[in-house]
Amino acid sequence: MRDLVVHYDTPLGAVKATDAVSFSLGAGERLGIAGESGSGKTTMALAILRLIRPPGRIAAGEIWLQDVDLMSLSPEAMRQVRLARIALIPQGSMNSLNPVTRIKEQILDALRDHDVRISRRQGQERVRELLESVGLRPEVADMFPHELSGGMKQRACIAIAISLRPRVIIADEPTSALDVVVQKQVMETLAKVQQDLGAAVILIGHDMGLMAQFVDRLGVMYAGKLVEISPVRDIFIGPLHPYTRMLIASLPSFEAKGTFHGIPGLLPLLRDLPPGCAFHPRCPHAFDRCQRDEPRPREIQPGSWASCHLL
Amino acid sequence: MAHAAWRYVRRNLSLVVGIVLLGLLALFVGIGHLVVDTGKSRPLSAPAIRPPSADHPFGTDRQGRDLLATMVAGTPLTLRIGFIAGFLGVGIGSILGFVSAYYRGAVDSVIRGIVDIGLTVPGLLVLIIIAVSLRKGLTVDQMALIVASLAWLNPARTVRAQVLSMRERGYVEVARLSGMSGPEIIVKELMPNLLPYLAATLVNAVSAAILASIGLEVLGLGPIDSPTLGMTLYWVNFNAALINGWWWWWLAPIVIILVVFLGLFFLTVGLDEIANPRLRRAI
Amino acid sequence: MTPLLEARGVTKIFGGGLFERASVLALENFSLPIEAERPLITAVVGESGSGKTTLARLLLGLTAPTGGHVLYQGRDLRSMSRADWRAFRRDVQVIFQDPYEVYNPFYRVDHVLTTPVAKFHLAPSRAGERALIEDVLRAVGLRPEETLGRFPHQLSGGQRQRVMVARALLLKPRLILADEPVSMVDASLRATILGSLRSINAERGISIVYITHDLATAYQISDRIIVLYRGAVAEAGDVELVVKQPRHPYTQLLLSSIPRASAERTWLTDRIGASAGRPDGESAGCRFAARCPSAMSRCREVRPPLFQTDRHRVVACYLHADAPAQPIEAP
Repeated sequence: MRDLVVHYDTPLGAVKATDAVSFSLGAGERLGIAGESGSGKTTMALAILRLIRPPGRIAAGEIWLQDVDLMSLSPEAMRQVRLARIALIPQGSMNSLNPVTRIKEQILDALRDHDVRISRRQGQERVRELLESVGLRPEVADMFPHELSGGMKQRACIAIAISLRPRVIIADEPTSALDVVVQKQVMETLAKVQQDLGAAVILIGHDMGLMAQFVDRLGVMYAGKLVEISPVRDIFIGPLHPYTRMLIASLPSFEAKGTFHGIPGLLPLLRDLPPGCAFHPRCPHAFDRCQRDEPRPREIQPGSWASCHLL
Repeated sequence: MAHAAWRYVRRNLSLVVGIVLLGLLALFVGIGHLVVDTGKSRPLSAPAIRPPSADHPFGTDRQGRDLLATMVAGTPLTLRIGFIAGFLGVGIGSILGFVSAYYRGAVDSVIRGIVDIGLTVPGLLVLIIIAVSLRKGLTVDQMALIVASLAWLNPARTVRAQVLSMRERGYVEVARLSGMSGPEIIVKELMPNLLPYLAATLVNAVSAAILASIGLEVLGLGPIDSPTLGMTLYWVNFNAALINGWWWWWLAPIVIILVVFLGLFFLTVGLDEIANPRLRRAI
Repeated sequence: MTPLLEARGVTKIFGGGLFERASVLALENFSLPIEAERPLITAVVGESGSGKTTLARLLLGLTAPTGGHVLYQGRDLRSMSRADWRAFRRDVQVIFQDPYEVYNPFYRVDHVLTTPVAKFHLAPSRAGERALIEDVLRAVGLRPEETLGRFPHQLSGGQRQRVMVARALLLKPRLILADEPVSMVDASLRATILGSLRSINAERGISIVYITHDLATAYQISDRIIVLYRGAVAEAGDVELVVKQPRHPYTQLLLSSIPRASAERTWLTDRIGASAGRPDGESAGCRFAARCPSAMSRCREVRPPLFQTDRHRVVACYLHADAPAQPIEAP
């Protein structure tokens, strides 16, 4: 992704939901995109698949999948790419399963939509394989969504997402509504299917603990900008950007009591961003340059990029 | 300001069209009353069966009524029936709907039973029976009351459904925990959120009431002496104006009825859009 | 000393009526006394289906128990007079989970603060009301000028939740029940709200019952903790003991399932051995037996009582049957 800019047109002017976001994803790599509400992470995920609907629009940027710029594809070609090359497990997907259709139909639907011609027997076999790969019993194929628990529904969504063996899986908050024990199972499932397919995963969420334990590289978004992106270990050992540092400090730990502090101030509204660095009103280290110039991403250490005037 | 208004027009075209249509009708009636002698809507005010001319722009009917005067006089009467019946219906219906949904229990079962049974009974049939039993000449207001007697059923049911879902809302619970009583919660917490919905229901009810009243009148069960739109159609029927080719006689009331219903329909759609934010389209 | 609020052997069963087939045992034989003189922060931790929301509703008197009693100052809620209820509604306040639903979109946020002032006659005059409201807003770290006069949609989730905390303070309660107060609030703002709860407890002597699924925040702010599993207490006691040295297999499972925000990666490779899945049906024995790696035959037959393994901790598990058994009380 290079310099992606997504605008939402409002009566008061264009709002930049994402601003010049760039990153690269290697094959089989796990990238995490963390951010709080309004940071632009879901918008970015939708933009990759060109699923931004009016009043939003992709104003600028390129998204390269291997050697194809997705922005240059026709709508029909893009439709082929979705699910077959890049799959999305959207937020709240377990609640978006069709309540009146059995699971196997929903999986087969996805296949048929991509003009996969298979016989009925092959279809059933494929469904069984897929369910097995996500750890669901074959009987689940004939069940309706309401008969499944939250974790099972989410795993069914993963099954749909991998049915065409994509190269990239984008999971947007896949476990936010699930209990912590179930969350672990679902993430284990995701890790397993990723390994089986050799696919790359982009995990979008706000749970830094989950990111720390799952992804290889982590990008942190704030107010539509990617303020830091580094290998995940480096981020937790020595976060570069003040926001990252304060975000990690605001997480409750099990080490000692009384050690977590919130970040003062409020998340900025995208339509009313402060001048210069969007974080400067809340940053304890802000100085005058921060109010004037927007910091640009720079490679601070090999593989670690951050946007901050302090660095 | 004008820019914002224009944008709203584009967004909620229905509402604007509805208001415009009804506005035109109001103008017609208003100016008409100033310009035309409504006395001419009585029989024997003009020569019978004259096609539209300079003297009688809408023509005359078989009993010698000037049709322009008839339309000008009759339209507000028909609308009045609709409004009285509609307001009464929605007023009574919503109160019952609120009470039924908020308090549940026995009260709810009784009201719900009456509403469910009432709605299955063919409304027109009931109205006909009532109208027939009140043999001696109906007035316009009596018509309104007759129609209102059934008009409260649907609002009661729809308001009840809305309130049932609203009463589970967090803010109702908070209000209860803050010491508010039942009636207070209904009036202060629930009602304000239902206002757009009630407005849409009201327009619906008015529409239905007008239709019901026209239906009764066409059957001859309305106020015989009044020049309402429905009565005019009754006379059209009675005198076989269609077969006799007296086109001006049935055209005028039908066009006006069309404008009334179209106006009310667009108004409903427009209000629905306000009441239900999910229907709002982005510009 | 009579506890301020107490659940005594409370059981709640949903459904099972004449026309319904399945009944759900939401809470079973649960007891929790909340004393007034020692204002503690008690965390009730459980996942979905643990019964924690049911417990909240029972403690608030929003629903009645199927068995057992909920007592306010020794009086059963079901037999309280109107005056008693008014006193109850002043002493026990609540903060709900959803900071969006609790506001009537028609009114400004002031409405939610002025209503209790009016209904409970907390201020003699308009000026007094204004002063009182501004006072509680500042107590939770909000600026009245930035908060009052706004509509709910103009405030962030964190701000709205803080207004709710302020509202709870208006009536000078002795107990605040916080039901998942920060689960719908952004991470960077959670700490501030939870910090307010802690300072309210420390400075104003208000007891807090903090209901959550998040063990980490529960550890951070509470003094004692109760771990619920499917309607029954698995483990309870001093929070340092329960979290640092968990004895119940379920508590251990919970703790190991939480991904830690640190540079060490053991989460996905750790195998605690407990199985997943929904055990169905109501078995007679321990509720966790179907998933427990150490389940013995005894576990499936009779519900384990609470064994007091330490001075300030009980565990409902036969693995610790050597410790003295407590009848029903949680410490």
